[in-house]
Amino acid sequence: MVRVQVCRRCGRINLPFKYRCRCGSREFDYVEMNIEGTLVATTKIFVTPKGYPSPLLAGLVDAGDLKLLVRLEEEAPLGSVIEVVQADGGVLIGRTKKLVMDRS
Amino acid sequence: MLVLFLRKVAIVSAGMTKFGKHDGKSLLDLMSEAALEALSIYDSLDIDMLVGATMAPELYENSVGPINKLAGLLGLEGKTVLRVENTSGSGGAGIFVGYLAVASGYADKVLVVGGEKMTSKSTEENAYIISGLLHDCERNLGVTLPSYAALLANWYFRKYNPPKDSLAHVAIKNHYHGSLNPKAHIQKRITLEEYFQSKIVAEPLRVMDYTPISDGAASVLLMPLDEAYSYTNKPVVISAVVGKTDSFVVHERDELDRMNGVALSVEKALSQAGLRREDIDLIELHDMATILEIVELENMGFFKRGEGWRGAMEKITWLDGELPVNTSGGLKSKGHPIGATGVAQAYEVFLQMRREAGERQAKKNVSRALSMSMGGFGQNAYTIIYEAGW
Repeated sequence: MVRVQVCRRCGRINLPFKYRCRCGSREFDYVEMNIEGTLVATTKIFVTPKGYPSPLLAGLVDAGDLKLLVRLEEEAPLGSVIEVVQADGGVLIGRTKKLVMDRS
Repeated sequence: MLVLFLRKVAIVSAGMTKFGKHDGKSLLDLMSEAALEALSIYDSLDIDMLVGATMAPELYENSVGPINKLAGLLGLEGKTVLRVENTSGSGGAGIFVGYLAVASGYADKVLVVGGEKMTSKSTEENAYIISGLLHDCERNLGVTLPSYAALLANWYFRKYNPPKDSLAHVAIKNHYHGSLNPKAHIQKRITLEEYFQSKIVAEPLRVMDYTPISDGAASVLLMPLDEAYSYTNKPVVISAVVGKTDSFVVHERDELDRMNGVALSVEKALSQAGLRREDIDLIELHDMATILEIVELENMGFFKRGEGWRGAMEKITWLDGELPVNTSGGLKSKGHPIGATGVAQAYEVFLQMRREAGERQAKKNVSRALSMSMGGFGQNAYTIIYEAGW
């Protein structure tokens, strides 16, 4: 589950949260959502900032209403179905739900 | 929007230190050196205003209020002095402020200096400092700007399937240009083999895809065009400067290759200048990574989506091509001392238009040019349009 912010006026889902939505509204609801989406970009990072492990897997997950950048728990080909969960400190973690064969 | 009484603004002179590793020189030493080169056109020139662009001397050198110090070093007491910061697009934002000051009539002679001193920190420390410009939700993952470039490359290759060596050709071109630029950090040509032998930084991108870590500074001296002719017979007119933002958090963008801030700033700058894309003879852009040169050219509208790679591979964007891009060597080969970069782009355009670029002089006549200086991953982009004033 991931805690997201939903704009009361335009319905846009924000993560990270904003003080003012793009539509100008300052009224939001906060809801826990199951977020699953498709892995649309991925990279294995070898040169990481001081204090972070190397290599580190990152991916962009397209969940329809929103896209999220996540740290991937394991290598997954593009097109895989990824579940996004929130670890301590709010870090978004991507768990592979369904691997697909990489077409490339 | 009706713009009244804006004066025409011109670059009268420009300066730049060599980019590279400057042991024993501070940021202010480098910025002073670049400033003095621009000021050397006339010794006792009375400057009204100094605009300094630098990102993080607080972190690199534990120095706060750097531009007030620079004003003191340059004997600019009793003047208007300020610092402008827009991460890696600080230089473009600095020129924006200088341009407005002259155009509005607030000041007649404005010196814009950009600089950064980075090599005193290790690569890991630099990655840590630069990751500070991302949102916490991105930074806490351990991603950096180079990681975003890698994600973009991964996405771009899947979506458009360009030739496997298309990124290599951007690097080869910019290194070739840089090899002809005596002020470039890395004045060395590279081969396809060397490109593919270089280490992976973040898959699929390699060391040879990224800009090095550099020290350096650059400057431009701005005046109203009619006054500029008293100092030079070849002033370079700034026809427009436009800044536009994109979503700050990159995953909020419609697609990974949509850089709306870049697209909007170019569109509006061209329209303000009353020019079309085909009028532009030369471009300096923000190739922090090779993939960005390709994707920026597409977002600027100079190539169709998925075809920006043709620029380097089909020699269109080489020195002797139809649309030379990054004749300076770009960030890739010239280096990217963060605050200096946007100003160094203007320096390159200034030389190219006046046909003073030496061995790297573009073959075609350059009478109109465009530079794009952006913060972060296109979060805040400043486009400048230049026209020959003679």
